[in-house]
Amino acid sequence: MRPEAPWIRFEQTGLHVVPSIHHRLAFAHSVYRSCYEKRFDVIAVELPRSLRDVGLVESVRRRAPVPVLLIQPSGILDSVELPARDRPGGREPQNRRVERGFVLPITSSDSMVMALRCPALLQERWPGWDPEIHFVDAEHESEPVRRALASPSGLDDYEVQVRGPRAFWRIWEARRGASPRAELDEQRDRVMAARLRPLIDSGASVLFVCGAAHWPGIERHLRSPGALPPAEEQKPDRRDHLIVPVDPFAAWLWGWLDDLPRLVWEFEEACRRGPDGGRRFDKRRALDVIWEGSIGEARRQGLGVSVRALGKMARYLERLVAASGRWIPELDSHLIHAVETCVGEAFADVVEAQALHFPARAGRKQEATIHGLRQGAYLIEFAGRTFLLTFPKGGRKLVLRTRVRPPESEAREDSGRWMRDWPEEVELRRSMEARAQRLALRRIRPPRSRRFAGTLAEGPDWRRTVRSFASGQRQLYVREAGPARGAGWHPDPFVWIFDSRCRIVERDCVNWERAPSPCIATLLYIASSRFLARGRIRADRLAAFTDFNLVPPPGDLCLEGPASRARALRSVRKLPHARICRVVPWKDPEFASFAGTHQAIAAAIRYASRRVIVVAPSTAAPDADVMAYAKRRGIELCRLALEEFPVSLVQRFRDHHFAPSPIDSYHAPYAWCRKYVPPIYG
Amino acid sequence: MSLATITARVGAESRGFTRHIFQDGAGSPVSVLLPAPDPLPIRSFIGREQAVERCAAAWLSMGGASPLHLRLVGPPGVGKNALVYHLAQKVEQKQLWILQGHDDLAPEDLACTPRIADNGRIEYVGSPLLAAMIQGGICFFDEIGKVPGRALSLLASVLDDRRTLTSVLAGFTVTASPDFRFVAAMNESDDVAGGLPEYLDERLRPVLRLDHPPVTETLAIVRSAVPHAEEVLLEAVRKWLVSREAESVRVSPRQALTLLSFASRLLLVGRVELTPERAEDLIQRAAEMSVGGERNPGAA
Repeated sequence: MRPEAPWIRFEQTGLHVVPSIHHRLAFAHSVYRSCYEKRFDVIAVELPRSLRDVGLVESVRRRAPVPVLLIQPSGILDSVELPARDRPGGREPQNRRVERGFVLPITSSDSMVMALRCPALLQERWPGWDPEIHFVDAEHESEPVRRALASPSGLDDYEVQVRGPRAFWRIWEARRGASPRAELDEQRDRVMAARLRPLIDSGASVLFVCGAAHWPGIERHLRSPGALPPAEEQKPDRRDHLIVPVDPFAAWLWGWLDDLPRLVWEFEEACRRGPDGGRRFDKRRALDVIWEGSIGEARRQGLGVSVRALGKMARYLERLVAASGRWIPELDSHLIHAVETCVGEAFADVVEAQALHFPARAGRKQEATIHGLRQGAYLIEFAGRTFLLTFPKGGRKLVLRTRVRPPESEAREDSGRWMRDWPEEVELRRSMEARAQRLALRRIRPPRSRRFAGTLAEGPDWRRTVRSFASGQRQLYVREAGPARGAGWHPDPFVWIFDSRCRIVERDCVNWERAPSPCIATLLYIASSRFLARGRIRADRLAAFTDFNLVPPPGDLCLEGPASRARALRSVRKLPHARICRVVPWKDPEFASFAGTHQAIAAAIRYASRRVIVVAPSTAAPDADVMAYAKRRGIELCRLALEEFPVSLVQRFRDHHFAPSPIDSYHAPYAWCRKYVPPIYG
Repeated sequence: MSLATITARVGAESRGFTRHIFQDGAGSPVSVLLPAPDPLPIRSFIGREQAVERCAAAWLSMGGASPLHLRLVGPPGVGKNALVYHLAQKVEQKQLWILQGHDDLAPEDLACTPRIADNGRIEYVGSPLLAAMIQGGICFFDEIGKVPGRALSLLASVLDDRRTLTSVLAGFTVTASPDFRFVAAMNESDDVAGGLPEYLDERLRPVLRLDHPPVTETLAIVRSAVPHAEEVLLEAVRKWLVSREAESVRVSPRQALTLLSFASRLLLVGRVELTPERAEDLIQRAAEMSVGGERNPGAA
């Protein structure tokens, strides 16, 4: 069956209309398909004539796909104080003289922009094609700039390609219901109908691209030509206009680059491959590019993304999209949600970056500087002038992912003198150590089964009891007291060795922690580093880590302020000397003979009372010197394989130690840390 | 092995258990008592529309692919169980079997456990999971984070595409009904402190996180659960919730409900006329006694 034409033909005339939702890719694609299928004599768009006179067509063709704003200043508005965070070089209030003006966003996902570009893009398809371009809208200055509206009631605009334009707009109208129209819009409908009439009467084939809200009114006026007003009017002077390139992210934020800018970019790429590439472009299939890019990037970053998790994510995403009656996932509620819940937050960051990737930009120096004000208003600074961009209430609500920031009290306390921990890290370490202790105790004291003798102990041993009944003995068996349960306080030192072969480049000793045990000496060994950002920035990796676990939790002691710190010290001094550990092992002659990460084990042996639990990769051979040292001091070394612990937790355990302060306190040029350090909160 | 067709209702002495006959690996019949579904509390469910939609979406069977198994994670008292009851009653309209997790759960507890019958013979009692798989209902594994990792190993085959449960003890394997759905819940603290074993972690996805609802929603939940509460008392609860939120202390609906119920009882004991000031003081006292709240600075 031949697919339905991408246009609506007005009666039996040469007028072919593509009613559109502005800045939505599906309609830009419809325009492209229309021009591919038919070599129109005339292209008419819903723009005022004065914009053509200032060279908008040429400007659009030259600058696309870079997102730009055409700003026509119309007077001084007011003086606005810049937000404190945007004041360069100081905190003194800065007032800017702000201008207002007519703002026309020009992005490659807009159908009108595509209509102006098509003659240039389709030269291979229609050699020498140079249709007349008509700007048919009335001159107007007062229309507020709008965010692109998503279709009402969740109607996916991809439906226009599935159902065809007539069926799509019927559903759209039914769901949207009647909405009041401004007098200005009625006037514009009349003017556009008046200007389209002679084009229709000329018998030329015309492609008309306009906003969907205008077409019913224009159609009504075209059917009753007697009501048409005179088409001539006074043009405003637009010589003072500016073409302002903006960051594609800002264009997306304002709703002018579809939901997923990467798909807009893929459409651009498809058009660049040739006319057939653009015609065959399918937004749904283009989603695969986001997945391919994300998986490749995840591999480069060393994120462990399993095939099973990806499969789960794909199945969940498919169901979410289907349940919401859409074809293309929404960024936050579908795409990122599915990735976060099925794969993980780190991969979600990668997917988000891929989905928002839109490399066409003018360059930071050529772009406008944008200051966000409150209540959705923005100041746009460009060429020494400042314009105010405001959005009317309503429209599409953009829900962006935001990380929950640490409480303000946490963020404030950043003296840098004391290393700060956060509760999640302490809990994670405690739980990892409790797990290690359980495994160790099970190894030391494996659970045993014995005949029931009056007490159930750890409960019946059903398997052995059933065997006993089956063999006719009819004896009940119970399990003997097994390893201690729970993650309570345990005095055994722990040594975590993550990579025993790496070159040690730095060592550090952290003497203080906060709750639950404020006075624990913790030894960190830092391994060889990865160099990032062209060798200028070093990313350290934790190689080994010793937790001495020497001091029992002294209740509510904390280290906030000198008084409480003094109380903590008094508490520590009451303990036997051997239990206080503020060692710097690499300076202690007793440890001089131990190399690399073995120094961590030796230090733990020195201060342990009976046992040291060492968690290390199963391939790491035990060092004979360390074993001999432990034997000499009468300390039992219990070795556990690192592989017995989930990879993700081990990874998190390692990463946590390099985010000692709230992530948001990283500032340029260290903002990259956010990418490599997992979030503390949220 | 396949499930045998013999199903019989067992008498009153078995308290609503249903007897199913399976065939073990050698073709011999194995009789297992299956528990009845858990009764669902009748109460209205407020808010969480998006979570309900997402759960329902995950449980869709599409194109022959089996539904996904969910994990709900959140602080205690925010409505994880209520969400599951609502899904069972109103959305999926299926029977619900609840498997309560605890740290003494053993692997065989997930399939079936033996017991010595009155006649001295061993009989098998199926788990809620087994019953839900056979009857095509929802199995809700509550507090899965409290179960030792090795006890969960039987879930691996249930939660992947095999959808089978094997009882080594009784020697049979059951394939889940196409209508079988699975959801697990765990507290946030269990998730942070190690979570599930890795092989299970990926099988139990998506992970839907439920946080504390906004104050207005908490109040609506409380209002709906205690419909006869004095309006002035409800207003005092609202003020208390707002003051706690201002101090960045999140109060769960369960805590708010406990607070109001307790305050209502204190009111009955006190037999005094309720003024707004007294109501606030009452809530404050009830908070200190029931949910461990500190003095409300707003009311002081």
